[in-house]
Amino acid sequence: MTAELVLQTEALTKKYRRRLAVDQLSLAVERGDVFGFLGQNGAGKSTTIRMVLGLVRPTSGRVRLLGHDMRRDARRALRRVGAIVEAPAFYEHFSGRENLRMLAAMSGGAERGYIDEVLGIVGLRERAGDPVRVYSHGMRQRLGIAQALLPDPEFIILDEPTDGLDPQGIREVRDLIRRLRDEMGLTVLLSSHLLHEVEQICNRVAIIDYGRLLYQGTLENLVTKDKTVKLTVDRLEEAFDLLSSDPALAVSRNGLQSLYVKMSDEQIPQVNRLLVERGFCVAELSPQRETLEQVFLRLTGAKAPRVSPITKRFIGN
Amino acid sequence: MWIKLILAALLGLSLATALRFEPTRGRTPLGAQRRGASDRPRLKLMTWNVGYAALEDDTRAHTEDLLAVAETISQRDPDAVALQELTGPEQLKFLLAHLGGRYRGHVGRLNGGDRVEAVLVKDRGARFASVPTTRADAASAIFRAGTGEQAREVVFVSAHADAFSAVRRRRYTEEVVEWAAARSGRGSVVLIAGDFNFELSSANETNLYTDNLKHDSEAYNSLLKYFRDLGRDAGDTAINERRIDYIFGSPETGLLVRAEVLRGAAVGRMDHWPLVVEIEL
Amino acid sequence: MLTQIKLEFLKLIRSKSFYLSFAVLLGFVVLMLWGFYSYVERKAGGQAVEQFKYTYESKSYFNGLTFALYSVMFSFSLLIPLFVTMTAGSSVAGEARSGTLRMICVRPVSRVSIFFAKFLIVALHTYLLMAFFIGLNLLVGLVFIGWGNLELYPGPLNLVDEPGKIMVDDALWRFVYASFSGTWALLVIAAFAMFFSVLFESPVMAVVVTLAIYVMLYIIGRVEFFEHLRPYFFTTDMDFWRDVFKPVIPWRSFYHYGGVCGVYTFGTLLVAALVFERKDITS
Ligand SMILES: Nc1ncnc2c1ncn2[C@@H]1O[C@H](COP(=O)(O)OP(=O)(O)OP(=O)(O)O)[C@@H](O)[C@H]1O
Ligand SMILES: [Mg+2]
Repeated sequence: MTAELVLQTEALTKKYRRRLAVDQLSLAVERGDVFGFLGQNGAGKSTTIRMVLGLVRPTSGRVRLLGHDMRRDARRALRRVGAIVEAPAFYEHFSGRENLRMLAAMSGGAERGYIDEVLGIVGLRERAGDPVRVYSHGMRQRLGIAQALLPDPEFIILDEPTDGLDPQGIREVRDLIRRLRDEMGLTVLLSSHLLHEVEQICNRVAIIDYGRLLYQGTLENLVTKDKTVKLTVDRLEEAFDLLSSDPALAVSRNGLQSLYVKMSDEQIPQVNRLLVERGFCVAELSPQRETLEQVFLRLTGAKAPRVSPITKRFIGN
Repeated sequence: MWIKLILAALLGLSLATALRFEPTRGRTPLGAQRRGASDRPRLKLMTWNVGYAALEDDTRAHTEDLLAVAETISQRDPDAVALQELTGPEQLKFLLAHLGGRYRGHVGRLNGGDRVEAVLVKDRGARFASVPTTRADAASAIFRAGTGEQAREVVFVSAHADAFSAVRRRRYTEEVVEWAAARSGRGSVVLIAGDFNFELSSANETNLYTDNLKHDSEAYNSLLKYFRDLGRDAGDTAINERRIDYIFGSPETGLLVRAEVLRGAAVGRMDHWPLVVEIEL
Repeated sequence: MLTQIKLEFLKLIRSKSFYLSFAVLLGFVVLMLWGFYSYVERKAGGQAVEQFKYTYESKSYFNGLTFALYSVMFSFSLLIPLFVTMTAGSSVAGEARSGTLRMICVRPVSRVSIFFAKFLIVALHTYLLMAFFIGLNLLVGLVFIGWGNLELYPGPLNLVDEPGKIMVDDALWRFVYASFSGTWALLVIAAFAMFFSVLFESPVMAVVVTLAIYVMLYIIGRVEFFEHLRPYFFTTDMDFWRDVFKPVIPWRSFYHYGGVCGVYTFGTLLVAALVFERKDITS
């Protein structure tokens, strides 16, 4: 028996005038997933999320949310869904708590205690009486998550919740999302343009580019076994010759200081031992994180890295 | 869904209301209709500038036309007549003679000008008075109308305001109004008839809003503050689509029975037509 | 629905522009008062305070009710529509601009009910403005001049075309009527502003377009050359509210134009609601 689908889109398409923002997108989010929704800026993540939530009417295709057809049953579907769409916005001259109270009323009401609880979850209880006007960016972002929790949701959709946060804030949000899944049993859809951000908490991801689905599945299948490892040693030439002689390794040189070696996790200590035994001084041996850019390149099979028109202008190509 | 239905229902209701009740375009009628015959005394009044159009050699009344004027008066048989732009007392005498002695009359003072206003009244007991103004004195008659308990004192003024200067028209009008309003305060029925030459429509001016327009509006308003414009719905009284001859009545004038401009009455090169108003006291 | 209305009400009474609108009206009345004072002072040769109560002409002509009538008539055509347009024009577009619209539109409520709640609050604000303004003028009239019979003359108000009089008790009731008929007329502008508020993402745009249309028709409708165009302008139909100040209220005509205004209001609202329901919220 297949797992219950919390969100299912079928050939979802959105055209803004002539521009195709989302193209035949079919997503499936299962209950219990922390689902990473990846794409570069302008790939169509927010547009998809807006269609899922009924803010934008699809040009074609269907959305089923918590088992309800969004076109016919939007209100029923949205009852147990919390969401942040792009940067959360609030009534600036109302306090954080008042904002939550108002939004909760529109979600069908919440007890006073629950609002305080939610404020506690996102760590805003102390500042809840201040007008949102004076909130910092991070506090707004956290209040955004708080308001997404108001409907006592089964499913929350977070559109770039870590956008503009410092590393500390990003970690807090990540921990929070983990807790939401583990303690409250929520299904989470999380959009981002950073692979490593979703890597650590998502079990499944979808990657879109130019509105089209490139990949959908588990994270393990996406991230290859082989890692590229950056190697900094003395006597670079010798090391290059030594490692190149091993057919199990793919070695490339980049600059005068480092080698890039593709290998599996098990091979890393072996290579290290080999180099030390041969008397090399290993200054650095670091597995390189595959960027979303590289994954794109891999998935699209493109040889050259994609260059944005702006960059193109800069480098005069 | 139900909100859309409510909106649609309200729309339908509004539409039905708009269709059910017809608008009264224009103004409230002055002559409120009274059902059935009434035994209240009636009063018929006429005003007529019998002078000639502006471009003629002599724009005052021409004596040969007075026969036709007398005929119109005899035909319509008003209780009182206000005439403007007579050359002087001799024309009035001529007219009274041709009316077979049924009217008595009076002219205002010349005061250095070349034309006078006149009042003609049927009532034998009428008294006449001049209405003093800075430039020329208007003529007025004070007579009684009705019999017994319903008898009222009527003050009837014949006025003629300057044709060329709006400032002078305004001054003159205000002086006449002041005189007449004082008499109205004493319980008399006061009527001011005559040619005021007001230019009240900006559409006839080259500029949208001129000083002339302002003065004339103010002058007209100073009349309307105390009097009703009885000939309002009777139409133009002079050539070039102008309504410049008026009969104003104080609030005591009671019901307006009829107001009419006699368009066929002008002879020679007269540029005005007589305005006839009938009221119930 | 009730929740939405409550929330919109909360937003209204917590917004600065709500209080600003009343403050400006207060300022307007002070200015009117000053104007009348200086007018009377000129007429009365420097004895304004004593003379204000006994006016320069016929004593009874000018009194507190006359003051209120002038004040209300003059401010109705431009000042109050300004505030109504501002509230209505920013109602939807303002929230679209600030982003809160998407926060409430992802909640399980119908967009039409959000829209309608906003309209009801705009209508409430309009009524409060009218009632406040009329009440304030009557109060100022009572304190500074004293009430009396309302004597009406043809003149700048263009209200009657022959002198008339409304007794003081009746006249006060007429002011009460005016607060309702005035609100009803203003709802036409409110509905237009809400329509543009739905159409445009920018509140400024919605307000400016609404005011531009209103003022344009208002001015053209006042120019005598274009008299023949008047019947086609909604601004002409809106004038029906003044009928309550005629000595004899022409009820049939009053109902007719009230109905026409209703057609404008509810027709526009219906269209706006349908547009809003289908609109992409992309801000
Ligand atoms: N209202 C709109 N009108 C026209 N085009 C739009 C509109 N909104 C978005 N687009 C276009 O649709 C495409 C997808 O935009 P979208 O905001 O969904 O991207 P995104 O993946 O959320 O990007 P980001 O990471 O920057 O948030 C973009 O090319 C954008 O220019
Ligand atoms: Mg986005």
